[in-house]
Amino acid sequence: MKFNPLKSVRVMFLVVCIVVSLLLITNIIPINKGKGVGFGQGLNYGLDFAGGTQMQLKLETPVTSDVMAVEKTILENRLNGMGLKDIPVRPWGDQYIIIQMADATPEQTKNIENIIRQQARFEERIDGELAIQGNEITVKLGPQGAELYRAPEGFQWSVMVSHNMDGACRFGRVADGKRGRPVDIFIDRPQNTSILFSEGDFEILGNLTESQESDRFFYGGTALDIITNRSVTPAMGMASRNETLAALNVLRMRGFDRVILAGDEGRIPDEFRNLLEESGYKTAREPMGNLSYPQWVVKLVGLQSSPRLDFDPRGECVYQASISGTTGTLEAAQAEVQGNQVLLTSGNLPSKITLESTSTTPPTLGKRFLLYSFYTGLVAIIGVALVIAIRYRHWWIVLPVMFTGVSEIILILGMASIIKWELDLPALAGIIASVGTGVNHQIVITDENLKRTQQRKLVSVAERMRRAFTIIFTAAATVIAAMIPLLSIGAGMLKGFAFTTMMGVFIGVGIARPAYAKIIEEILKTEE
Amino acid sequence: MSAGIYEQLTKKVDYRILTIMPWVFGILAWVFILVNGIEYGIDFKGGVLMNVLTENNIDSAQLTALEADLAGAGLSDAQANVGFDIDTGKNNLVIQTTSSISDRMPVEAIVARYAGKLTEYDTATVALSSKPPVELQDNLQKRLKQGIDANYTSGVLTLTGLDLNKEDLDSALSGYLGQKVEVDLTKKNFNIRSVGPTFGQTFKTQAFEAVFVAFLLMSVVVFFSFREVVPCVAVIQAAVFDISIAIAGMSLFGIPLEPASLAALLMLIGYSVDTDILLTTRVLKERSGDLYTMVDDSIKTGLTMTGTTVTALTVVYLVSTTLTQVPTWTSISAVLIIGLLADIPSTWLTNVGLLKWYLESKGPRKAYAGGRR
Repeated sequence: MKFNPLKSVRVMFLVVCIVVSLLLITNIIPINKGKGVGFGQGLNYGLDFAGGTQMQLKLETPVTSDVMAVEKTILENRLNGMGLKDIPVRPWGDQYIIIQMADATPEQTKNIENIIRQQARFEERIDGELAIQGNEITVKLGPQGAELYRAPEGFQWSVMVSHNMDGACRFGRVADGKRGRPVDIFIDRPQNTSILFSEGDFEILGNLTESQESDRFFYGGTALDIITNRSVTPAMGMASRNETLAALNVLRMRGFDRVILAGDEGRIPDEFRNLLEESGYKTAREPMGNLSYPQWVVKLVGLQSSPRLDFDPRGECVYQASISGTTGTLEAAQAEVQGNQVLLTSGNLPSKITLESTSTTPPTLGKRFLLYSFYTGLVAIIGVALVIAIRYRHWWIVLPVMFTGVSEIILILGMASIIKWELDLPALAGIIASVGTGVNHQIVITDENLKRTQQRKLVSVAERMRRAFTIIFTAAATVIAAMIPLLSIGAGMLKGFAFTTMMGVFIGVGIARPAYAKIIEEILKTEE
Repeated sequence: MSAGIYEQLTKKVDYRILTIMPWVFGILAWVFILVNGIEYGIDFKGGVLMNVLTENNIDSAQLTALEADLAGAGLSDAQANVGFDIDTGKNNLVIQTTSSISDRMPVEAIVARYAGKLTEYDTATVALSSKPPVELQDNLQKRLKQGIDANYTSGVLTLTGLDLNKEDLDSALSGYLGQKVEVDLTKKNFNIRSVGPTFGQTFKTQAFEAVFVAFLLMSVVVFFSFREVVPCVAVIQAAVFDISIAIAGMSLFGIPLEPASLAALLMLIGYSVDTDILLTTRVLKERSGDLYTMVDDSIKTGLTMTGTTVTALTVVYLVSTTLTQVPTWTSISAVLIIGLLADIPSTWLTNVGLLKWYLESKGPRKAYAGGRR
């Protein structure tokens, strides 16, 4: 009777899993969009292998998780604001934040360092006049600094703000008689900068007075009013080159030496940008992209929110204020509270951040490391095969052990691809740990089977397998128990190791080892 | 082969002595660790690690002078070593210090005096008669799909990035500038990595706490599997012993405790419990055969397990010290080999002995099933 492994459900399941994993590792496009097709392209590589820059930031004091969440969001918002999207900002313990970038240029790295060194420039302005600066306000974070209650139509929320003396009295002066006007909240409003639009856009903005999505911004004025009056930023439409340059030169005398070119190359040509650069202006381009006109305007000037002033201080100092609103659901109200707390804290971080260290791994070095690790692994597998061959002296035991071991590696990588788990050195160590114990367990299964053969079937196959799997399950459960506490070690290296080891143990115990047990059982039956 | 090996051994030496012997070494190992100390990598103690690839041959006198210069600049425990980089054929100067550096300039200037010019990024330069268009940088980044900075000063365009390739730059630049361009490419030869001291301290504390809880949870699982205290203690002592000997080995051979070697210590947990649970399950849960037969069967299986792993790791150790020169794998494999060799006495002397004593103290049940001794 010949054994056909594909007739066993367990073996078939393993084979199907291997095929799917191989497809995932070599990249199935709908799952791993934006990656090339080739072996290993469907995997995410961490800093150790892909190269990149890592920064460790330290907070002045350990903070609660509420405060940490706010610090993280503020950093993310500011990095996004400078066009660095999707940079992971990971809290690490209660006092550290780690930022990793796969491919940052030296200048970007410097920019990020600058962002971290400086606070965000937070301003509250009423009709263009400065009322409050970031260091003048204090917000209690978390639920203590907010109120949420049920209103007739949904939920009412409010966030409490305290002003220091300078801020409180300036606010009172500036807000005098301004009841009903907006309090414009800016983050990093452009300084010494004028904005140049195409003539068409400039005209549209001058006539735009409301829109569905952001009517709370207009307060009776035009979109252009928001730029020139409320955010005090000069703006102009592109006339002839000479006229535009002349107008910009007048502004430069007043210190406006930066120009935002609001429009793509079609609207404001690169030639003109080159001309400005040669004349000594610093230029940046901010095309409208997919934004609506109001969205574009608030992005250009850094306007975050414009709550309405609901009282008239009549020149008196205002030490306490609140921002409030109504939403339909409790979740939306909570989101508003958190969003406003983040916004109001941006200019005065609850705990100051300093850059503790920066380190860079060049991509070539990482690739070399990965490649060498792969070769080393291959040689190690051959070493294992030799020991198994010497011990059992049968190739039909060596082959299934090797097959199962290699398939466990493939399955773990396949799983890593599905859940987009980042492969780095600790993850690799985890794979080695779980595959190593996998080989150990196959030896246990083999020996239990051989014993049965030697003992002339004194004990049934099922009983022998039950014993083998008692050992395997107990060992696996013990390893998983040991890994659980390591998961909670921040976003650090132990987490990657522990998670990958656990994933490997689950895959091994659930898929690979049952299939191996079936294969070896059938093979030994046939050999008898 | 190994048949009757434990029985033969216990005929020569009292099994209680065999049981205690490994832990005599275990305690000596801890004395040694406490006396000799253990070296921490910069991830744990904080500090700076610099790597420089240089054509200059730096002899030991120069290394001493370099260390003295760095100490003069206020760096504590500065250590400099020279190795050979197999890929570039250049000398690899490695400098480590436990100080954190706030201003890198003076330190880099000192290193440059010995190793030549330091470039932290790949840098390509080309002479151009006129200023290139501002969009050049964006275009290059899009086309080469990597971060590149472009700067033009006094007739020279300088491009910097993490990983630049001459052919790619030549063809892209020639296309965008409308003229044949050949860049001068200097590859990065300097890498600096720093870890703040408090960050390292936090990591160390957290790691130790986590390892402690890990052992606690392991004990709970093992206890629930066997429902008896002594076997549970026997399994856990083996993991503790293996890790202790591995740490003593690190202290002896100067392998620093860094993320890689810490991972190796944790990997030992998995490898260690495999053999012990094999032994304990067979001895406690199987009804057939006498203790010695079961122990000998387990030794056979267990030594095969340890044998495969140690062989694989010896291969990794040899390959990484000679061919590939990846220090990470050298330290991982060295720590694991030491720990796995320690697992042989901790499992097959101490754990076996504890189980034998436990079964005998419980009364003449199955330890004497075979009627021996």
